[in-house]
Parts: sequence; structure tokens; C-alpha cells
Amino acid sequence: MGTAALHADHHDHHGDHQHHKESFISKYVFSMDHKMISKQFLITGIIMGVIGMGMSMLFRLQLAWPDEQFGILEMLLGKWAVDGKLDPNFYMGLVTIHGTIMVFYVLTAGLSGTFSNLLIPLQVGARDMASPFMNMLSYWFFLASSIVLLSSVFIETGPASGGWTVYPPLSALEKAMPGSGLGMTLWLSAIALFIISSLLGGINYISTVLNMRTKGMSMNRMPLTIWAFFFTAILGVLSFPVLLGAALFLIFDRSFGTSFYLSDIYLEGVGALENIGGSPVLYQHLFWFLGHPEVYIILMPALGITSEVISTNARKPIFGYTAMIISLMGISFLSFIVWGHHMFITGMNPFLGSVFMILTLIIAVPSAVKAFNYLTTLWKGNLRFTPAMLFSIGLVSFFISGGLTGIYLGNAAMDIQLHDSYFVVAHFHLVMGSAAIFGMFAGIYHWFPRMYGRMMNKPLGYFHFWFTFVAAYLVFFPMHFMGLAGVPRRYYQFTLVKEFEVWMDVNVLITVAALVGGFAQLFFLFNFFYSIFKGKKSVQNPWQSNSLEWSAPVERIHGNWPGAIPEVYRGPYEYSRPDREEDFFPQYIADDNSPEVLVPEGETVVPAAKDPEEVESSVFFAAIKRVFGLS
Amino acid sequence: MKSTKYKDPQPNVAPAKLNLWLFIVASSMLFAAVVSAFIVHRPDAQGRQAWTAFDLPIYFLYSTFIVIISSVTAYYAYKMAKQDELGANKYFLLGTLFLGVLFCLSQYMGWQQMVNLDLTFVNARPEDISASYVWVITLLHFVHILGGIGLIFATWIQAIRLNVHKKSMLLMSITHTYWHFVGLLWILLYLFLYFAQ
Repeated sequence: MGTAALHADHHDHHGDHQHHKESFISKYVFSMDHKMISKQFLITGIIMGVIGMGMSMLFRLQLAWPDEQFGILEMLLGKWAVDGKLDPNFYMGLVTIHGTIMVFYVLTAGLSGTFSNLLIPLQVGARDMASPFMNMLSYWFFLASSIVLLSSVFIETGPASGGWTVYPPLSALEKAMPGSGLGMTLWLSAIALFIISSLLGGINYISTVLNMRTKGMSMNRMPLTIWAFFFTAILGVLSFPVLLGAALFLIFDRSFGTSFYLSDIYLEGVGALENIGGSPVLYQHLFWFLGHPEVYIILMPALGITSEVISTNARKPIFGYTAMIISLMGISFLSFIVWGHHMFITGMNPFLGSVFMILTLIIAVPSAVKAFNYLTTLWKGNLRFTPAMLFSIGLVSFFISGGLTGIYLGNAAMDIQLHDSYFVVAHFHLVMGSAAIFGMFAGIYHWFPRMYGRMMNKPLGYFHFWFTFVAAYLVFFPMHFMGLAGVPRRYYQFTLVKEFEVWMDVNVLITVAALVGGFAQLFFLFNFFYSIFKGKKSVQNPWQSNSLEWSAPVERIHGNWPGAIPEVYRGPYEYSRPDREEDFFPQYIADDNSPEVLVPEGETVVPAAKDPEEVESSVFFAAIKRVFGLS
Repeated sequence: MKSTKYKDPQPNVAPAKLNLWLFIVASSMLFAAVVSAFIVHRPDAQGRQAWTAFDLPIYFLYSTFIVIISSVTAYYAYKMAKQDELGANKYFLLGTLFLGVLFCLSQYMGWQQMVNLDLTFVNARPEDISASYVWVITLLHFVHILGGIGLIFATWIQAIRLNVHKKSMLLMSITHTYWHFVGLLWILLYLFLYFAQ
């Protein structure tokens, strides 16, 4: 696959023999087809998500009923929950691994890995990624990394437990806590593998977007999903190497005895350790130089997916296409120069703090532009409340309510009170946790027909949405008040602190909501796995969307299109054009006379069957339009 | 059916080449991070941080000359392949390979010199943390050089099999670009370490 020419020949060959059998290994395991790799990312991400969420339910039990004994905990965790009471060290481990899994494995690899892989080649009109081989490696490094991370839960000393940011010296000294032993070593190995996976993927995404677009697909005709994935990949390629640097220094300090982060440490009342001359704040600088772009790496793909889903289901052009791109660009740029707002209380020069504060507050501008554009796209649209649409609207809600508290936290003066409190937990769980996971759900419901050729069940999707949406607010909203009252995060048992006992009722409420929200995911899991095999067969273009991926045949083939790659004639959001009878005008249709799927000479493609329900609904909408004099 | 019937649009740049450039960007960020850590860690105007300033081993300077010469030979290997001068191409590749190995030896001698000065990777005194940074920076660069040597070796093998010529330049041009990158990187790192001490 060295050159592009070879590449094209390979695929044409495939087009000729559509029934050519691939072996199980080459099709499902070591696949180089971007669609299969995206499914591998998605399913691995879902499994990691279930594990990460399950961990949060376990430690929520501890926070709500610290004196209760849960037989089920002892059954699950053995010596980590003797007599059904969670071990404090393991509690810290659960918090740490929950954070790590959710931030990196679910919302970075699971979200970006799935949808960048699926949509970039399909929406820009390419046969596959720039380098399918690197793409395959990217998944396998990710899987190896997941396995290494999970294995750390099963070792004698427990997993890494210094919080997902693993600040030294706590994480650097084996004696500091049990989790800083082998568990921490495994954590660092897992993250190193993860960084490699992420870089392999990111390089491919950028390269494909820049270099492999089909004829007519100029940059200003790309769907906003692609723009979002593009900027996300740029952030990843620029910031993950810095995390690698931070992790390398930490590995050297832990395993080789250097002192980049360590100095003058007294442990257990014994004199200073041998490590001298280092600076623990240096780690925070390096970590947050990745850490802050990382939150946008998580959020931006979700924002891109939302743009696409909202525009399609509002049957309106997205409001402010160019403004959306410029705001993504602004967020990407600013994300690199605001890392100091995580470090206001490290003894930073107050003048430097105020610089970081102003830059942080400026991010509110592009974010507000995006929120405004979502709302104005919804305004007076022909809304179709598919599950994907509901999840997208849910994202907008979380993005606004969680984003507002970011303005509080970005203030250097207020951060002194709010730092490391439940206010922070509430803020980031709403704005990057819930919002991003809702974007991911929106993407799954919207593109499931593209991935598996079948539809997901709608009523189950509605149940899933409402339970999750309400539960997420019930879990995270009360945490703001706890944080304002000074309740610190990561504490094991609040009944041991007189001051915080008054919050026990709230903790019970949060835990109950978390359990309900957690179990509501069973709707999704059942729906997802059942629909893969037994779902209703999808039509060619179930959402009547404009973008290029819906021109590829439902039957999924390596190379995406059986014939030539379709050309693109206009932007992706031309919905409800007054001069058109139908309310959408796909990018790949030249004018009213051209066929929907471009078929090469001498080949026949069975036209996709019209779904009676869809026909009915379009008749219904036409009737409504006539009644209101819109057509 | 022949592929002429529907010709896919060809990318402007070979995908592998663009990927290489993006890798170069990522790898530059890694060095930027490590070098920034060095700068942040260095004593400020008040000189609060203890810090050993030492002369870089002379072998690191030799390495710099070696890497400059090897960039010239790599360029000629590339130029000869482009002109279908296959024999000359092979000799220049072999020469570059030799200089690459020589660079590694020279770095090794440099590290030896640092050990002799008691400036080991694990610092014995707080102020010797400066040497730990020199070790990390040179070792990370060394890993990149090893990758480059692997690429040159692979290109040389392909050249022997007559797979490197005017119409098959992808591997040669990737090796050429990458080798210039690691060469330039070393020159910049050397200058940085020389002046930043």
C-alpha cells in the first residue's frame, strides 16, 4: 500500500468481486477497513465505559452509606471490601481508574476513535484512511493499553490511586501509598501505549482530511463533524507528545532514581530521601499543557456531531457555518494557552495568574457562539425528535449549564475557595462528561444505520435519553452546592468530618440518581447489541441527510463505493431550499436529473427499498406544510 | 473491469509523506516539552535553584559534524536515485549508514565522558539535575537516530534489490526527509544545550 495508485487498484479489484470471501481474521480482527476499525473502537469503548461507570457506582455506594455493609461488595471485590465495607485505598483506586477510563478510554478513544474513523473517509469521499495500516495499529495499541490498565485492578497492591492526574510526589514514591507501587507502573505503561495509539490515529485523521478529499469537496464544503475531528486531531498531535514527556520524566523518577519532580521529601518522619533538586510543579505544567487541550479533544467531536445531527433533524441549514468553524479554531488555539488555570493555587505569580484568567474567560466567547448557533438552528425548524436529536439537544443543555460554572472557576480569586471541591466535580462532569457522552450517544443513534445497516429501536432510545438526562442533572447539580460549602473532592467518608455530615442526605440523593442513571444504560446496551443482529433493516438514507456517507450502499464494502467516488456539488447543510420540492439536497447530486447513487457502467446496484414509514412521514410533512402554506 | 473506467481522484501528496511530516510535528512537540522543562527548571534571576553548569562533552561537537556530513551524503543518495544513478545511490546510502553508526559511537563516547565527570543520569547532588536533562534530551534524540538508521538500512536493502529508482522514490524520499529532520534536530539541540547551560 505504498502509493496511492496501488491503493486505488486494490480497491477497484475489490469492487469487482464483492462476494470475495475475506477470512475471519482479516475481516474482524486485523482489519484495515476504517469502518470495521471504528466498530472495534466503539465496542471496546462501550465495554470500558461500562466498567468505568460501574466503578463510579461502587464508590457512590460508599459515599452515601459509609457505615452500611454491602455483601455484594465483598462478593465482587474480595479483600478490598472485607465485611462489605470498601477499603479506603481501593476507594482511591476506583476514583482514579474511573477518571482515567472515562477521560482517555471512553471519551477520547471511544468517541474520537469511533467517529473520526467512521466518518472522515465517508464524509470527505475517500476509499479509506491515508494509511490503513497505521489505523489498524492505532486500534491495537489502544486495546493493549486498555488491557494493561484493567490488569492493574487485579494486582496485590491495587491500581494507581493518586487521582487521574497522578501528581508527584504522591505518584512518584512507592512508599507513599499502596497504589503508587506496581499499579502506578502499569498506569504509566498503559498511558504510554495510549499516547502512541492516539498519535497514530490523529496523524491519519489530519492527513486524510487534508489530502484525500473527493472532487468538489473543498474545505468550506466539509461537514462540521469533519472540521471538529480535524481540529481535535491537531490538538492531539500537538499535546499528547507533551504528556509523553511528562510521563517519561515520571517513569525515570520512579524506576531509575532521577529527581525531575522530587526534592526534599520526608516520609514517615524519616530524613530526606535521596531524590533531590526536582520540582513537582514542573509535572503540573507539563501535564496540564496536555490536560487542557484534552478536555477539548473530548468535547469538540461531540460538538461536531451535534452540529450535524441538529441541522439534519431541524431540516434547516446550520446557523453560522463559518462562525462554527472559526469558533472551533478559536477554542483550539486558546486551549493551548490556558493550562495555568488548573494551577492557580500552586504559588503561581499573581500577575501570571491574571493572564491565564483573562485567556480562560475569552474561551467563553467562541463557546457562546456555538451555543447560540445551536439554539438558532433549532429556532423555527421542522424538528424531528429522533433519539439522536434528543441527545444533541441534551448536549446543548449540559454545555450551557456546565459551561457557565467554568466562568466562576476560571477566576483566580474564586478558585482559591472552589479548587479541589465538589464544585469542580460538578463543573467538569456536566460540561465535558455528560455533554461529551451525550454527543457520543447522539452519534451512535444517528450513524448506527451507517455502521450496521439496521436501525436502533426508537422507544428504547427515548427511555434511555430521559432517564439519563434527568439522572445526570440530579447527580451533578447538587454537587455545586456541596462545593460552594467547601466539601472537598476525593474524600473517603464524610461522616468522619463533623462539618460535612449535614450533606449526607444530598449524598444519598446523588447516589440513588447515579444508580438509576447507571441502570438506565441497560436500555442502551440491550438496544445496541440487539439491533446489530435483529434491528429493522435500514434504508439508504434514513434521516434524509445531505452528507456524502449516505450515498454509499447499505451493504458495507471495503472501498466504500462500488463505482467511482461521488463528486460533491455544494455545502452539506442545504436543507429546506425554497426552490426544491424535497426538503434536502444531498451534496452528491448534481441536479434534479442525476441518479442518487452513481453506478459505473456495466454494474447494477439494486436500488434501496423505500421504507413505507419514511414515505408516510414525508407525505405527512408535506401535508403539514400545505396546511401552513409553507410549500 | 479496468480501473480506467472510474479513476479515483489522486491525492496531491503521497499519504505516507504527509504522515511523516505530521510525525515530525508530533516529535518536535516532545522535544519542545523536554526543552521547556529544562528552561523552567533552570535558575531564575535570583538564582534560587542550584544548578551545575558544565561544558558539553567534546564528542557531542564531533557528533554535530558527523550529522552534517551525513545529511550531505543523504542528499546525494536522494539526488542520484532521482537521476537513476543506481550505483552511486547505493554507495551514498552505505556512506550515510556508516556515518549514522559513527554518530551513535560518538554519542556513546560523549556519555562516557559525562560519566567520568560524575555527571550520571541519576544526579548525585541537587545541582547536578542539569546533567539529567542533558541525558534525557540526548537519549530521546538517540532513539530517533536509531529509527533513521533503520530507515536508511531498509532503503539500502531495497536499493540492492533495484527497487529504488526514478519511478520509485517514496521510500528514498521519506528516508531523506527523516534523516534531515533528525540531523537538524541534533544541531538545534546541541546549540540549545551549548548556550543554555
